[in-house]
Amino acid sequence: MVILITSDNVKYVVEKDVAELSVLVKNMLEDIGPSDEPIPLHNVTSTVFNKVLEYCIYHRNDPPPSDDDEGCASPLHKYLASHICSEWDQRFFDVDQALLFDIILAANYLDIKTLLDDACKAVAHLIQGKSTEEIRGIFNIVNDFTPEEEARVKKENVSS
Amino acid sequence: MPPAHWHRVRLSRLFSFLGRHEPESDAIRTQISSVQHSPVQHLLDTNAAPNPQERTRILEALSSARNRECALEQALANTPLGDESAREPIRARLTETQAFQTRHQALLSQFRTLPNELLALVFLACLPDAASTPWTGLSWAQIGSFRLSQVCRKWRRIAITTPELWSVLPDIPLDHPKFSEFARSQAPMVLQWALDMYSYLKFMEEVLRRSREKDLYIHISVLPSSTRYFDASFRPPILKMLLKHESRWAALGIDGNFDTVTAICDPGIGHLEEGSLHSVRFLRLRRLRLNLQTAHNSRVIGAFAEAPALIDVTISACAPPDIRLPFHQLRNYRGNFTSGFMAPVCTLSSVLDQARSLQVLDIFTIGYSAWMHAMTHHGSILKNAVTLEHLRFLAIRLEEPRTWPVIRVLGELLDHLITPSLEELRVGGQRHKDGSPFLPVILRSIATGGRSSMRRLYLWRIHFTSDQLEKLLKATPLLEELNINLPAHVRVSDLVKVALLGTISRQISASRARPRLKSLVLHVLKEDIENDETIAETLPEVVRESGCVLSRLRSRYNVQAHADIEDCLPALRFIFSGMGETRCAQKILNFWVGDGNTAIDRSIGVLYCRLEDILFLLEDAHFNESRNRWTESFLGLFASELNSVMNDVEALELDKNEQVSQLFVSSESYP
Repeated sequence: MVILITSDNVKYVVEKDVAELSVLVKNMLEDIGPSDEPIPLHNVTSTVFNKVLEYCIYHRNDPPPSDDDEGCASPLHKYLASHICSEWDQRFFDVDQALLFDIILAANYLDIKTLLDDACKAVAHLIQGKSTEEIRGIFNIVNDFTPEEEARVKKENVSS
Repeated sequence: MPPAHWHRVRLSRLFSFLGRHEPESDAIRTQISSVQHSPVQHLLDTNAAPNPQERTRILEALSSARNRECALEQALANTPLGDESAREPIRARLTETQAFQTRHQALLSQFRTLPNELLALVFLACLPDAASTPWTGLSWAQIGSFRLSQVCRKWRRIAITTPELWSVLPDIPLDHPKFSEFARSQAPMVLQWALDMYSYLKFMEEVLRRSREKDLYIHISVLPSSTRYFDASFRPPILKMLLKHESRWAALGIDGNFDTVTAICDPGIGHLEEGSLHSVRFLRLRRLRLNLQTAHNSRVIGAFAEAPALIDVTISACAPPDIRLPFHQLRNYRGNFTSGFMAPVCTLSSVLDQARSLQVLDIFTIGYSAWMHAMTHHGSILKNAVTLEHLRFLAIRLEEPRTWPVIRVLGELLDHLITPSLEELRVGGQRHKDGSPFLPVILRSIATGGRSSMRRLYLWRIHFTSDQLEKLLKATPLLEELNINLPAHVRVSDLVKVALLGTISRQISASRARPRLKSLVLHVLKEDIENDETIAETLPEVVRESGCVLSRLRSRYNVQAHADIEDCLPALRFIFSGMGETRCAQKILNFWVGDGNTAIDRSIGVLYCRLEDILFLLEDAHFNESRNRWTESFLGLFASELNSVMNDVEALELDKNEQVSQLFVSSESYP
């Protein structure tokens, strides 16, 4: 078991294999060796860490992502990976934008690549197929182009 | 608890009806008359992130604006309905206050604080998965790079400095008049064409510049009818431009003909004017897809024979007569072996003889005539058994409807292939009511081909009985997932029981119930539903019985107090490939509503109404929105809403303390 403490001083006792999905925690554990010392997670609040932990527990037995997997997974495997597993993931990422971005920041800080990738995909899902105007609306982004700049960047779309 | 002002609002409405005004307090008058100034004026109309102090000030301002909004609403309610001269300024202030809140709330958006490198990751997640799925042509509209770069200055800066975002060139038509005609005629032409061509080339040049030195994923196409623009003796300027970056090509797709391949690969074409003979070496090419519209029986495609990194090849439509590839290094081969010529089948022979590192072999179609032709000229294609040590995925789709010759092809192929690592086998035939002869061939091959470790099996249009399924499950103890068509002329609910429980017994107790498969996927085709009364009658029963089977398993886990029941329960999944199938299925399932007297029937009736709503929305979107939007609506509404309905079905109590679970409906078609 590993003891982790979030930035708001909430203590978690987590199984080692789950905690080690975070490369940051894994490296820290290797550095300090066998010890009961709690590991502080300075940049993660308990609200966000609850979600991170939920993800890690669900995905603890997933095979590690392989760089050597290009094009080799079977179509069904890919189908399952992208549709069936993602039903759980879809529910998991069905949270408000603020929490979604907090998950991205936490995944980046804790160095959990699959969570970071999946959270980015969840945000990408909000963007895909939307016009620039719609994207601005979704993320409260101000169009700060001057009219001349805007006319110029829009010209680039000759092929779209 | 409602806000304190609610009471006053209602009272004031009453006063206004009576022609009397509730007296306004000084505080309210101040709220109305004062103008709220932004504490962070310098941040408005920018996408800058506020610092912690500014953030606090924004929160305070928002709180104050909300109070002001309440006061204005109250004042509006106090003002008589006919008194527009008094109401209009209040309304204007209210709008102003709401706009103030919107603008300041936007400043707190987390997107402003996301580091640039993470924003770049989000952008990359918007790209199609060009690196791992089979490489096929896409439209530029599916590549969001340009849209992302046009949102705001910050996004543009990040997008332009992320070269991977510009590495997918999904649709490059070589024969488009915009550029081909100009280069071909070399003569004065219509001005607009010249401008179009110029801007298109500028566009491509810019994309290539932004992609820097990253690998490129390119898809080139030539329309079947437009050879007047393009042939083997000429390279259009767009192709010349792309060839300058040939050393970066990581994936190449060609929808065209033999001349297209020649124009791209032959170093002799189009280089005289450049003064040098450039050899196309495809140093980084890992993935190749050829979709040729015509086949020339006497010509050879040899340009890819020495591509050192090539591991993934897809050849569809007309298979080239003689294509030379580095077979020994291939990991994925997807091909079509269906023409009347013997050559394609000989290519299959080369694949099987030489591609010993193969992990994926996907035979799109294989025809009996091609097989027999090759057999006549070469004897058996597979003289000896071939061991493909690393093969994880094998798919064979048969072309012709004649049962016995097709079985012979399938049998010969399966019997000669030893595949000890096979995880997934897919076999697809034509529509046969009596598919039973296929299953003995498959069962035999499982025994002889070292396939007992198989985990996923997909049998497309190969129908079988529950007895045959029991045999199949015994032969494949590790099988986790079975994909079949919703079978005709057999008792589907028995199949479901065998698949999920491993037995057909009706008497099995909850404590003995044990899941056999992790997932049973039933693909529902419209013609099966519409043309087959058996299925129409069976479907409601299947759903009901499946629910009971699943509920029995759930009880068992409940008894054992299993920690995570949902993970252990098998899933039964119905997959509809489109709206038509779904409509048919739902019409049929509507009979399941029963007499509407029980709580369950009423609940299902409500769910059915919700489904009707979803379908109505989709239909509306279909008529009123673009195809892309409709597809989006379809996937969004269908996949999420329908599954949410099914989640509610799960929550229904069938028997006391028992629920349906793990029952899904999906909009996805596979394959």
